[in-house]
Amino acid sequence: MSDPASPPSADVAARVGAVIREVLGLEACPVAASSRLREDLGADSVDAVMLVMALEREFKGKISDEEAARFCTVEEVVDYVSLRIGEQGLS
Amino acid sequence: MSRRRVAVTGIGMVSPTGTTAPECWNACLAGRAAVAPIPDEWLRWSTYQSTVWAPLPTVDFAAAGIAPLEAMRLDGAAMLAIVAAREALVDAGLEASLVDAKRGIWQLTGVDGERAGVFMGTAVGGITTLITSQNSHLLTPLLPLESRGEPQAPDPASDALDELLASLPKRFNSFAVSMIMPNSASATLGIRYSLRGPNTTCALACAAGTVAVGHALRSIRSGDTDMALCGGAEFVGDPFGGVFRAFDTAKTLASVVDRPETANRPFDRGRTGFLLAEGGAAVLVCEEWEHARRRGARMYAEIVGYGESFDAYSMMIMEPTGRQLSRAIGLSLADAGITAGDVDYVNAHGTGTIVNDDVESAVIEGLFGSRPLVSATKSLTGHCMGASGAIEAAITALSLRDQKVHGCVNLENPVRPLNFARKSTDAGLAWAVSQSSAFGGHNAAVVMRRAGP
Repeated sequence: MSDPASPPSADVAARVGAVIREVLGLEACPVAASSRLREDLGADSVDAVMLVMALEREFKGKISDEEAARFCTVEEVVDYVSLRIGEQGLS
Repeated sequence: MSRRRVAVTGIGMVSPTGTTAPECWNACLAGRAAVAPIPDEWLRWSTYQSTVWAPLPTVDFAAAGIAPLEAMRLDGAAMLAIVAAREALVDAGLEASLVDAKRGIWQLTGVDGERAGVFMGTAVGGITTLITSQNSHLLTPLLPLESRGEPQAPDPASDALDELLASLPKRFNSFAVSMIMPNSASATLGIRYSLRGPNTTCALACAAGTVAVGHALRSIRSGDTDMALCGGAEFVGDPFGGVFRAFDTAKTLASVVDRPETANRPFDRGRTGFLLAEGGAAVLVCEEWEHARRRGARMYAEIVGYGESFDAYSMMIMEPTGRQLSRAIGLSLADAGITAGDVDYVNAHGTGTIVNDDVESAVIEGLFGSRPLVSATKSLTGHCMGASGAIEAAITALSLRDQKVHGCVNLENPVRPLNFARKSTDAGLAWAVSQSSAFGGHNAAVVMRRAGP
Protein backbone atom coordinates (compact mmCIF):
# COMPACT_ATOMS: atom_id res chain seq x y z
CA MET A 1 0.00 0.00 0.00
CA SER A 2 1.54 3.35 -0.96
CA ASP A 3 1.60 6.27 1.42
CA PRO A 4 -0.75 8.95 -0.07
CA ALA A 5 1.60 11.70 1.16
CA SER A 6 4.58 10.29 -0.77
CA PRO A 7 5.25 11.31 -4.36
CA PRO A 8 4.54 8.52 -6.89
CA SER A 9 8.24 8.20 -7.70
CA ALA A 10 9.01 7.20 -4.10
CA ASP A 11 6.34 4.53 -4.32
CA VAL A 12 7.81 3.19 -7.58
CA ALA A 13 11.30 3.17 -6.07
CA ALA A 14 10.08 1.18 -3.08
CA ARG A 15 8.25 -1.31 -5.26
CA VAL A 16 11.17 -1.73 -7.67
CA GLY A 17 13.47 -2.21 -4.69
CA ALA A 18 11.17 -4.89 -3.30
CA VAL A 19 11.07 -6.71 -6.65
CA ILE A 20 14.86 -6.62 -6.97
CA ARG A 21 15.29 -7.95 -3.44
CA GLU A 22 12.76 -10.70 -4.13
CA VAL A 23 14.44 -11.77 -7.39
CA LEU A 24 17.96 -11.70 -5.94
CA GLY A 25 17.07 -13.24 -2.59
CA LEU A 26 18.12 -10.12 -0.70
CA GLU A 27 15.01 -9.84 1.45
CA ALA A 28 16.80 -8.43 4.48
CA CYS A 29 19.15 -6.04 2.67
CA PRO A 30 18.46 -2.46 1.67
CA VAL A 31 19.18 -1.79 -2.01
CA ALA A 32 20.81 1.56 -2.86
CA ALA A 33 19.68 3.48 -5.94
CA SER A 34 23.22 3.55 -7.27
CA SER A 35 23.78 -0.20 -6.85
CA ARG A 36 24.69 -1.95 -10.08
CA LEU A 37 22.55 -5.04 -10.66
CA ARG A 38 25.35 -7.30 -11.85
CA GLU A 39 28.52 -6.00 -10.27
CA ASP A 40 27.15 -4.94 -6.86
CA LEU A 41 24.09 -7.12 -6.35
CA GLY A 42 25.36 -10.27 -8.07
CA ALA A 43 22.60 -10.62 -10.68
CA ASP A 44 23.36 -13.22 -13.34
CA SER A 45 21.72 -13.66 -16.74
CA VAL A 46 18.92 -15.82 -15.34
CA ASP A 47 18.22 -13.19 -12.67
CA ALA A 48 18.02 -10.54 -15.39
CA VAL A 49 15.31 -12.53 -17.17
CA MET A 50 13.49 -13.16 -13.91
CA LEU A 51 13.71 -9.46 -13.00
CA VAL A 52 11.90 -8.45 -16.18
CA MET A 53 9.17 -11.04 -15.61
CA ALA A 54 8.80 -9.92 -12.00
CA LEU A 55 8.63 -6.22 -12.96
CA GLU A 56 5.99 -7.00 -15.57
CA ARG A 57 3.97 -8.83 -12.94
CA GLU A 58 4.35 -6.04 -10.36
CA PHE A 59 3.58 -3.14 -12.70
CA LYS A 60 1.25 -4.96 -15.09
CA GLY A 61 2.71 -4.39 -18.51
CA LYS A 62 5.28 -5.42 -21.03
CA ILE A 63 8.96 -4.57 -21.00
CA SER A 64 10.84 -5.33 -24.20
CA ASP A 65 14.00 -7.41 -24.01
CA GLU A 66 15.94 -4.64 -25.78
CA GLU A 67 14.99 -2.07 -23.15
CA ALA A 68 15.60 -4.48 -20.30
CA ALA A 69 19.09 -5.18 -21.62
CA ARG A 70 20.00 -1.56 -20.89
CA PHE A 71 19.21 -1.78 -17.15
CA CYS A 72 22.46 -1.34 -15.28
CA THR A 73 21.64 0.23 -11.92
CA VAL A 74 18.64 0.13 -9.61
CA GLU A 75 18.04 3.81 -10.37
CA GLU A 76 17.79 3.10 -14.11
CA VAL A 77 15.08 0.53 -13.47
CA VAL A 78 13.19 2.99 -11.25
CA ASP A 79 13.48 5.71 -13.89
CA TYR A 80 12.29 3.38 -16.63
CA VAL A 81 9.22 2.29 -14.68
CA SER A 82 8.43 5.84 -13.43
CA LEU A 83 8.46 7.14 -16.99
CA ARG A 84 6.09 4.49 -18.35
CA ILE A 85 3.77 3.76 -15.49
CA GLY A 86 0.13 4.87 -15.85
CA GLU A 87 -3.22 3.87 -14.43
CA GLN A 88 -3.37 0.89 -16.79
CA GLY A 89 0.13 -0.29 -15.89
CA LEU A 90 3.27 0.06 -17.99
CA SER A 91 2.87 1.53 -21.46
CA MET B 1 27.69 -60.25 2.59
CA SER B 2 24.05 -59.53 3.26
CA ARG B 3 22.19 -57.27 0.86
CA ARG B 4 21.52 -53.65 1.75
CA ARG B 5 17.87 -53.17 2.66
CA VAL B 6 15.65 -50.24 1.69
CA ALA B 7 12.94 -48.67 3.84
CA VAL B 8 10.19 -46.24 2.87
CA THR B 9 10.39 -43.57 5.56
CA GLY B 10 8.34 -40.73 4.09
CA ILE B 11 5.42 -40.30 1.70
CA GLY B 12 4.01 -37.24 -0.02
CA MET B 13 1.13 -37.28 -2.46
CA VAL B 14 -1.16 -35.09 -4.52
CA SER B 15 -3.89 -36.61 -6.65
CA PRO B 16 -7.46 -35.88 -7.71
CA THR B 17 -8.51 -37.41 -4.37
CA GLY B 18 -6.46 -35.08 -2.15
CA THR B 19 -3.53 -32.71 -1.68
CA THR B 20 -1.67 -34.71 0.97
CA ALA B 21 -0.89 -38.39 1.41
CA PRO B 22 -3.31 -38.82 4.34
CA GLU B 23 -6.07 -37.05 2.38
CA CYS B 24 -5.53 -39.27 -0.66
CA TRP B 25 -5.30 -42.45 1.41
CA ASN B 26 -8.37 -41.65 3.48
CA ALA B 27 -10.35 -40.84 0.33
CA CYS B 28 -9.31 -44.21 -1.12
CA LEU B 29 -10.34 -46.02 2.05
CA ALA B 30 -13.66 -44.17 2.08
CA GLY B 31 -14.24 -44.99 -1.60
CA ARG B 32 -14.45 -41.31 -2.55
CA ALA B 33 -13.57 -41.42 -6.24
CA ALA B 34 -12.67 -38.33 -8.24
CA VAL B 35 -14.71 -37.75 -11.38
CA ALA B 36 -16.14 -34.62 -13.02
CA PRO B 37 -17.35 -33.43 -16.41
CA ILE B 38 -14.63 -32.06 -18.67
CA PRO B 39 -14.48 -28.22 -18.77
CA ASP B 40 -17.08 -26.61 -21.05
CA GLU B 41 -14.37 -24.51 -22.72
CA TRP B 42 -12.85 -27.63 -24.28
CA LEU B 43 -16.04 -28.17 -26.29
CA ARG B 44 -15.18 -25.11 -28.36
CA TRP B 45 -12.29 -26.97 -29.92
CA SER B 46 -13.69 -30.44 -30.49
CA THR B 47 -16.32 -32.97 -29.60
CA TYR B 48 -15.11 -35.91 -27.53
CA GLN B 49 -16.14 -39.50 -27.10
CA SER B 50 -15.37 -39.24 -23.38
CA THR B 51 -16.88 -36.40 -21.37
CA VAL B 52 -15.39 -37.01 -17.92
CA TRP B 53 -12.02 -36.68 -16.25
CA ALA B 54 -10.53 -36.48 -12.75
CA PRO B 55 -9.55 -32.86 -11.99
CA LEU B 56 -7.10 -31.97 -9.24
CA PRO B 57 -8.35 -30.24 -6.10
CA THR B 58 -7.00 -26.74 -5.48
CA VAL B 59 -3.38 -27.07 -4.40
CA ASP B 60 -1.88 -24.40 -2.11
CA PHE B 61 1.53 -24.08 -3.73
CA ALA B 62 2.52 -21.11 -1.56
CA ALA B 63 1.91 -23.20 1.56
CA ALA B 64 4.30 -25.77 0.12
CA GLY B 65 7.00 -23.10 0.02
CA ILE B 66 6.82 -22.29 -3.69
CA ALA B 67 7.33 -18.52 -3.94
CA PRO B 68 5.26 -16.60 -6.54
CA LEU B 69 8.40 -15.87 -8.57
CA GLU B 70 9.38 -19.51 -8.54
CA ALA B 71 5.94 -20.51 -9.77
CA MET B 72 6.51 -18.36 -12.86
CA ARG B 73 9.38 -20.58 -13.95
CA LEU B 74 7.97 -24.01 -13.08
CA ASP B 75 5.60 -26.27 -15.02
CA GLY B 76 2.66 -27.71 -13.09
CA ALA B 77 4.32 -31.13 -13.00
CA ALA B 78 7.42 -29.78 -11.24
CA MET B 79 5.24 -27.79 -8.81
CA LEU B 80 3.30 -30.93 -7.89
CA ALA B 81 6.60 -32.78 -7.48
CA ILE B 82 7.76 -30.13 -5.00
CA VAL B 83 4.53 -30.34 -3.01
CA ALA B 84 4.82 -34.12 -2.74
CA ALA B 85 8.56 -34.07 -2.01
CA ARG B 86 8.20 -31.49 0.72
CA GLU B 87 5.44 -33.49 2.39
CA ALA B 88 7.50 -36.68 2.10
CA LEU B 89 10.59 -35.08 3.67
CA VAL B 90 8.63 -33.56 6.53
CA ASP B 91 6.88 -36.90 6.99
CA ALA B 92 10.26 -38.64 7.10
CA GLY B 93 11.43 -36.26 9.80
CA LEU B 94 14.20 -34.85 7.61
CA GLU B 95 14.70 -31.19 8.37
CA ALA B 96 15.71 -28.76 5.67
CA SER B 97 17.55 -25.47 6.13
CA LEU B 98 17.70 -22.71 3.53
CA VAL B 99 21.23 -22.26 2.16
CA ASP B 100 20.57 -20.09 -0.93
CA ALA B 101 17.51 -17.86 -0.83
CA LYS B 102 17.91 -16.60 -4.41
CA ARG B 103 17.92 -20.08 -5.89
CA GLY B 104 15.59 -21.62 -3.33
CA ILE B 105 18.15 -24.25 -2.30
CA TRP B 106 17.78 -26.19 0.93
CA GLN B 107 20.07 -28.62 2.71
CA LEU B 108 18.77 -31.72 4.44
CA THR B 109 20.10 -32.24 7.95
CA GLY B 110 21.79 -35.60 8.43
CA VAL B 111 21.87 -36.46 4.72
CA ASP B 112 25.07 -36.63 2.67
CA GLY B 113 23.87 -34.96 -0.53
CA GLU B 114 26.47 -36.76 -2.65
CA ARG B 115 25.04 -40.09 -1.53
CA ALA B 116 21.43 -39.10 -2.15
CA GLY B 117 19.61 -39.49 -5.45
CA VAL B 118 16.44 -38.47 -7.23
CA PHE B 119 14.43 -40.83 -9.44
CA MET B 120 11.27 -39.34 -10.93
CA GLY B 121 8.85 -40.63 -13.50
CA THR B 122 6.83 -38.71 -16.06
CA ALA B 123 4.88 -39.55 -19.19
CA VAL B 124 4.74 -36.23 -21.00
CA GLY B 125 7.03 -33.83 -19.07
CA GLY B 126 6.11 -30.14 -19.30
CA ILE B 127 3.50 -30.59 -22.01
CA THR B 128 1.23 -27.86 -20.64
CA THR B 129 4.03 -25.32 -20.87
CA LEU B 130 4.80 -26.54 -24.38
CA ILE B 131 1.19 -25.97 -25.45
CA THR B 132 1.01 -22.51 -23.83
CA SER B 133 4.34 -21.43 -25.28
CA GLN B 134 3.52 -22.68 -28.74
CA ASN B 135 0.18 -20.86 -28.68
CA SER B 136 1.96 -17.68 -27.67
CA HIS B 137 4.47 -18.17 -30.48
CA LEU B 138 1.94 -18.91 -33.22
CA LEU B 139 -0.61 -16.28 -32.27
CA THR B 140 1.69 -13.29 -31.74
CA PRO B 141 1.19 -12.00 -35.33
CA LEU B 142 -2.60 -12.19 -34.82
CA LEU B 143 -2.66 -9.97 -31.72
CA PRO B 144 -3.76 -6.85 -33.73
CA LEU B 145 -7.00 -8.68 -34.52
CA GLU B 146 -7.96 -8.70 -30.85
CA SER B 147 -9.42 -5.19 -30.83
CA ARG B 148 -11.36 -5.25 -34.09
CA GLY B 149 -14.70 -4.66 -32.35
CA GLU B 150 -17.99 -6.52 -32.22
CA PRO B 151 -18.78 -8.64 -35.29
CA GLN B 152 -21.98 -7.88 -37.18
CA ALA B 153 -23.25 -11.44 -36.88
CA PRO B 154 -22.45 -14.37 -34.55
CA ASP B 155 -19.03 -15.56 -35.54
CA PRO B 156 -17.70 -18.70 -33.82
CA ALA B 157 -14.34 -18.41 -35.55
CA SER B 158 -13.82 -14.87 -34.24
CA ASP B 159 -14.96 -15.92 -30.78
CA ALA B 160 -12.45 -18.76 -30.78
CA LEU B 161 -9.69 -16.41 -31.90
CA ASP B 162 -10.64 -13.87 -29.22
CA GLU B 163 -10.55 -16.55 -26.58
CA LEU B 164 -7.16 -17.76 -27.71
CA LEU B 165 -5.70 -14.27 -27.88
CA ALA B 166 -7.09 -13.38 -24.46
CA SER B 167 -5.50 -16.51 -23.02
CA LEU B 168 -2.02 -15.62 -24.23
CA PRO B 169 0.51 -14.89 -21.53
CA LYS B 170 1.92 -11.36 -21.72
CA ARG B 171 5.33 -12.71 -22.58
CA PHE B 172 6.72 -15.89 -24.09
CA ASN B 173 8.10 -17.50 -20.95
CA SER B 174 11.89 -17.21 -20.96
CA PHE B 175 12.07 -20.38 -18.88
CA ALA B 176 10.06 -22.44 -21.38
CA VAL B 177 12.97 -24.82 -22.10
CA SER B 178 13.60 -25.72 -18.48
CA MET B 179 9.85 -26.06 -17.90
CA ILE B 180 9.18 -28.32 -20.90
CA MET B 181 12.08 -30.72 -20.57
CA PRO B 182 11.01 -34.07 -19.09
CA ASN B 183 13.83 -34.02 -16.51
CA SER B 184 12.48 -30.77 -15.07
CA ALA B 185 10.82 -32.36 -12.01
CA SER B 186 13.80 -34.52 -11.04
CA ALA B 187 16.22 -31.65 -11.58
CA THR B 188 13.98 -29.29 -9.61
CA LEU B 189 14.01 -31.64 -6.61
CA GLY B 190 17.76 -32.25 -6.85
CA ILE B 191 18.50 -28.52 -6.87
CA ARG B 192 15.93 -27.67 -4.20
CA TYR B 193 17.26 -30.21 -1.71
CA SER B 194 20.98 -30.29 -2.64
CA LEU B 195 20.84 -33.95 -3.69
CA ARG B 196 23.95 -34.53 -5.80
CA GLY B 197 23.96 -38.27 -6.43
CA PRO B 198 22.27 -39.89 -9.44
CA ASN B 199 19.43 -37.75 -10.75
CA THR B 200 17.32 -39.69 -13.20
CA THR B 201 14.09 -39.15 -15.08
CA CYS B 202 12.18 -42.24 -16.09
CA ALA B 203 10.15 -41.16 -19.11
CA LEU B 204 8.22 -44.39 -19.43
CA ALA B 205 4.60 -43.31 -19.81
CA CYS B 206 2.30 -45.02 -17.34
CA ALA B 207 4.97 -47.30 -15.88
CA ALA B 208 7.30 -44.37 -15.12
CA GLY B 209 6.57 -44.04 -11.41
CA THR B 210 7.01 -47.75 -10.75
CA VAL B 211 10.29 -47.82 -12.66
CA ALA B 212 11.52 -44.78 -10.70
CA VAL B 213 10.85 -46.55 -7.40
CA GLY B 214 12.54 -49.70 -8.69
CA HIS B 215 15.63 -47.83 -9.81
CA ALA B 216 15.86 -46.06 -6.46
CA LEU B 217 15.83 -49.49 -4.82
CA ARG B 218 18.64 -50.66 -7.07
CA SER B 219 20.68 -47.51 -6.45
CA ILE B 220 20.49 -47.78 -2.67
CA ARG B 221 21.01 -51.51 -2.71
CA SER B 222 24.09 -51.22 -4.94
CA GLY B 223 25.71 -48.82 -2.48
CA ASP B 224 25.64 -45.83 -4.83
CA THR B 225 23.26 -43.98 -2.54
CA ASP B 226 21.99 -44.12 1.04
CA MET B 227 18.83 -42.18 0.42
CA ALA B 228 16.64 -41.28 -2.53
CA LEU B 229 13.57 -39.28 -3.37
CA CYS B 230 11.64 -41.33 -5.88
CA GLY B 231 8.24 -41.19 -7.48
CA GLY B 232 6.51 -39.45 -10.32
CA ALA B 233 4.77 -36.23 -11.30
CA GLU B 234 2.42 -35.32 -14.11
CA PHE B 235 0.27 -32.36 -15.10
CA VAL B 236 -1.87 -32.41 -18.24
CA GLY B 237 -4.44 -29.73 -17.40
CA ASP B 238 -3.95 -27.74 -20.58
CA PRO B 239 -6.57 -25.02 -20.98
CA PHE B 240 -7.81 -26.25 -24.37
CA GLY B 241 -8.13 -29.99 -23.75
CA GLY B 242 -5.61 -30.95 -26.42
CA VAL B 243 -3.95 -33.62 -24.28
CA PHE B 244 -7.36 -35.04 -23.40
CA ARG B 245 -8.22 -35.08 -27.10
CA ALA B 246 -5.06 -37.04 -27.91
CA PHE B 247 -6.13 -39.85 -25.58
CA ASP B 248 -9.77 -39.51 -26.58
CA THR B 249 -9.10 -39.82 -30.28
CA ALA B 250 -7.04 -42.95 -29.58
CA LYS B 251 -10.22 -44.45 -28.07
CA THR B 252 -8.60 -45.09 -24.71
CA LEU B 253 -10.85 -43.04 -22.40
CA ALA B 254 -13.87 -44.00 -20.31
CA SER B 255 -17.25 -43.25 -21.86
CA VAL B 256 -20.26 -42.28 -19.80
CA VAL B 257 -22.66 -45.16 -20.37
CA ASP B 258 -24.91 -44.65 -17.38
CA ARG B 259 -23.87 -42.00 -14.88
CA PRO B 260 -20.54 -40.08 -14.82
CA GLU B 261 -19.82 -41.55 -11.38
CA THR B 262 -19.78 -45.08 -12.79
CA ALA B 263 -17.78 -44.43 -15.97
CA ASN B 264 -14.46 -45.38 -14.34
CA ARG B 265 -14.73 -49.10 -13.57
CA PRO B 266 -11.48 -51.07 -13.72
CA PHE B 267 -11.81 -54.85 -14.01
CA ASP B 268 -15.58 -54.63 -14.53
CA ARG B 269 -17.12 -56.26 -17.59
CA GLY B 270 -18.83 -52.94 -18.37
CA ARG B 271 -15.57 -50.94 -18.50
CA THR B 272 -14.98 -48.69 -21.50
CA GLY B 273 -11.60 -47.06 -20.94
CA PHE B 274 -9.58 -45.10 -18.39
CA LEU B 275 -10.43 -41.86 -16.62
CA LEU B 276 -7.76 -39.27 -17.39
CA ALA B 277 -6.54 -37.37 -14.32
CA GLU B 278 -5.52 -33.73 -14.56
CA GLY B 279 -2.32 -34.60 -12.77
CA GLY B 280 -0.75 -35.83 -9.61
CA ALA B 281 2.50 -36.61 -7.88
CA ALA B 282 3.84 -38.98 -5.30
CA VAL B 283 7.28 -38.95 -3.73
CA LEU B 284 8.65 -41.63 -1.45
CA VAL B 285 11.66 -41.09 0.78
CA CYS B 286 13.63 -44.31 0.46
CA GLU B 287 16.53 -44.98 2.80
CA GLU B 288 19.08 -47.65 3.35
CA TRP B 289 17.79 -49.60 6.34
CA GLU B 290 20.59 -48.77 8.78
CA HIS B 291 20.62 -45.12 7.66
CA ALA B 292 16.93 -44.96 8.59
CA ARG B 293 17.32 -47.00 11.77
CA ARG B 294 20.23 -44.92 13.11
CA ARG B 295 18.18 -41.74 13.01
CA GLY B 296 15.13 -43.47 14.46
CA ALA B 297 13.01 -43.02 11.36
CA ARG B 298 9.52 -44.49 11.23
CA MET B 299 9.18 -47.06 8.46
CA TYR B 300 6.10 -47.56 6.30
CA ALA B 301 7.35 -50.64 4.51
CA GLU B 302 10.44 -52.25 3.05
CA ILE B 303 10.99 -52.32 -0.70
CA VAL B 304 12.32 -55.78 -1.41
CA GLY B 305 12.05 -56.53 -5.10
CA TYR B 306 11.89 -55.04 -8.56
CA GLY B 307 11.48 -56.41 -12.07
CA GLU B 308 10.98 -54.91 -15.50
CA SER B 309 10.41 -56.11 -19.04
CA PHE B 310 9.39 -54.86 -22.45
CA ASP B 311 6.68 -56.23 -24.75
CA ALA B 312 8.39 -55.43 -28.09
CA TYR B 313 4.92 -55.71 -29.59
CA SER B 314 2.98 -52.44 -30.02
CA MET B 315 3.18 -48.79 -28.98
CA MET B 316 -0.46 -48.57 -28.00
CA ILE B 317 -1.70 -52.00 -27.01
CA MET B 318 -0.57 -54.65 -24.55
CA GLU B 319 0.82 -57.89 -25.91
CA PRO B 320 -2.26 -60.15 -25.65
CA THR B 321 -0.66 -63.08 -23.81
CA GLY B 322 0.73 -60.79 -21.08
CA ARG B 323 3.89 -62.88 -21.10
CA GLN B 324 6.22 -59.94 -20.49
CA LEU B 325 4.06 -58.38 -17.76
CA SER B 326 4.04 -61.78 -16.10
CA ARG B 327 7.82 -62.03 -16.49
CA ALA B 328 8.34 -58.56 -14.94
CA ILE B 329 6.27 -59.56 -11.91
CA GLY B 330 8.09 -62.89 -11.71
CA LEU B 331 11.45 -61.12 -11.78
CA SER B 332 10.33 -58.81 -8.96
CA LEU B 333 9.27 -61.80 -6.83
CA ALA B 334 12.57 -63.58 -7.50
CA ASP B 335 14.43 -60.40 -6.61
CA ALA B 336 12.50 -60.31 -3.33
CA GLY B 337 13.27 -63.98 -2.72
CA ILE B 338 9.61 -64.97 -2.44
CA THR B 339 7.12 -66.94 -4.50
CA ALA B 340 3.76 -65.85 -5.85
CA GLY B 341 2.05 -67.81 -3.08
CA ASP B 342 3.55 -65.44 -0.48
CA VAL B 343 1.86 -62.34 -1.91
CA ASP B 344 -1.12 -61.03 0.06
CA TYR B 345 -2.05 -57.98 -1.99
CA VAL B 346 -1.70 -56.95 -5.62
CA ASN B 347 -2.14 -53.25 -6.34
CA ALA B 348 -2.94 -53.69 -10.00
CA HIS B 349 -2.30 -51.32 -12.89
CA GLY B 350 -6.07 -51.61 -13.48
CA THR B 351 -6.68 -48.81 -15.95
CA GLY B 352 -10.19 -49.78 -17.00
CA THR B 353 -9.32 -50.24 -20.68
CA ILE B 354 -10.74 -53.33 -22.34
CA VAL B 355 -7.37 -54.87 -23.19
CA ASN B 356 -5.37 -53.92 -20.08
CA ASP B 357 -7.84 -55.36 -17.63
CA ASP B 358 -8.39 -58.48 -19.70
CA VAL B 359 -4.66 -59.23 -20.05
CA GLU B 360 -3.67 -58.07 -16.57
CA SER B 361 -6.37 -60.05 -14.79
CA ALA B 362 -5.30 -63.17 -16.71
CA VAL B 363 -1.68 -62.54 -15.68
CA ILE B 364 -2.71 -62.12 -12.03
CA GLU B 365 -4.81 -65.27 -12.16
CA GLY B 366 -2.01 -67.20 -13.84
CA LEU B 367 0.63 -66.11 -11.34
CA PHE B 368 -1.25 -65.75 -8.09
CA GLY B 369 -4.52 -67.63 -8.54
CA SER B 370 -7.37 -66.10 -6.59
CA ARG B 371 -5.72 -65.86 -3.17
CA PRO B 372 -4.27 -62.34 -2.86
CA LEU B 373 -6.50 -59.31 -2.52
CA VAL B 374 -6.52 -57.20 -5.69
CA SER B 375 -7.54 -53.57 -6.13
CA ALA B 376 -6.98 -50.75 -8.60
CA THR B 377 -6.13 -47.31 -7.20
CA LYS B 378 -7.02 -45.77 -10.58
CA SER B 379 -10.67 -46.61 -9.86
CA LEU B 380 -10.44 -43.76 -7.30
CA THR B 381 -7.78 -41.34 -8.54
CA GLY B 382 -8.24 -41.69 -12.27
CA HIS B 383 -5.13 -42.26 -14.34
CA CYS B 384 -2.29 -39.94 -13.28
CA MET B 385 -0.04 -41.24 -16.09
CA GLY B 386 3.65 -40.97 -15.14
CA ALA B 387 2.72 -40.35 -11.51
CA SER B 388 0.35 -43.31 -11.25
CA GLY B 389 2.96 -45.98 -10.50
CA ALA B 390 4.41 -43.80 -7.74
CA ILE B 391 0.97 -43.06 -6.28
CA GLU B 392 0.22 -46.79 -6.30
CA ALA B 393 3.57 -47.67 -4.71
CA ALA B 394 2.77 -45.14 -1.98
CA ILE B 395 -0.73 -46.60 -1.54
CA THR B 396 0.81 -50.08 -1.32
CA ALA B 397 3.20 -48.92 1.41
CA LEU B 398 0.27 -47.33 3.28
CA SER B 399 -1.69 -50.58 2.89
CA LEU B 400 1.17 -52.51 4.49
CA ARG B 401 1.47 -50.01 7.33
CA ASP B 402 -2.25 -49.87 8.12
CA GLN B 403 -3.01 -53.49 7.18
CA LYS B 404 -5.89 -52.24 5.05
CA VAL B 405 -6.71 -52.51 1.37
CA HIS B 406 -8.87 -49.97 -0.43
CA GLY B 407 -11.67 -51.16 -2.68
CA CYS B 408 -12.05 -51.25 -6.44
CA VAL B 409 -14.80 -48.72 -7.09
CA ASN B 410 -17.63 -49.56 -9.52
CA LEU B 411 -16.60 -53.20 -9.78
CA GLU B 412 -19.87 -55.06 -10.16
CA ASN B 413 -19.23 -57.85 -12.67
CA PRO B 414 -15.55 -58.79 -12.46
CA VAL B 415 -13.77 -59.72 -15.64
CA ARG B 416 -12.27 -62.73 -13.81
CA PRO B 417 -12.94 -64.41 -10.45
CA LEU B 418 -9.97 -62.83 -8.64
CA ASN B 419 -10.05 -61.89 -4.95
CA PHE B 420 -11.01 -58.29 -5.72
CA ALA B 421 -11.50 -55.94 -2.77
CA ARG B 422 -14.83 -54.29 -3.60
CA LYS B 423 -14.57 -51.98 -0.59
CA SER B 424 -12.01 -51.18 2.10
CA THR B 425 -10.91 -54.33 3.82
CA ASP B 426 -8.81 -55.05 6.91
CA ALA B 427 -6.28 -57.71 6.04
CA GLY B 428 -3.11 -59.29 7.36
CA LEU B 429 -0.57 -58.16 4.77
CA ALA B 430 3.04 -59.28 4.82
CA TRP B 431 3.97 -58.96 1.13
CA ALA B 432 2.45 -56.81 -1.61
CA VAL B 433 3.10 -56.16 -5.29
CA SER B 434 2.46 -52.95 -7.24
CA GLN B 435 2.67 -53.30 -11.01
CA SER B 436 2.40 -51.08 -14.06
CA SER B 437 2.31 -51.32 -17.82
CA ALA B 438 2.76 -48.50 -20.28
CA PHE B 439 2.24 -47.27 -23.83
CA GLY B 440 5.38 -48.28 -25.65
CA GLY B 441 5.34 -51.72 -24.05
CA HIS B 442 7.08 -51.19 -20.69
CA ASN B 443 6.20 -53.42 -17.74
CA ALA B 444 7.44 -53.01 -14.17
CA ALA B 445 6.65 -54.40 -10.73
CA VAL B 446 7.76 -53.50 -7.22
CA VAL B 447 7.51 -55.84 -4.23
CA MET B 448 7.11 -54.45 -0.72
CA ARG B 449 7.10 -56.08 2.67
CA ARG B 450 5.54 -55.01 5.94
CA ALA B 451 8.17 -53.12 7.93
CA GLY B 452 9.71 -55.38 10.55
CA PRO B 453 13.03 -56.44 11.98
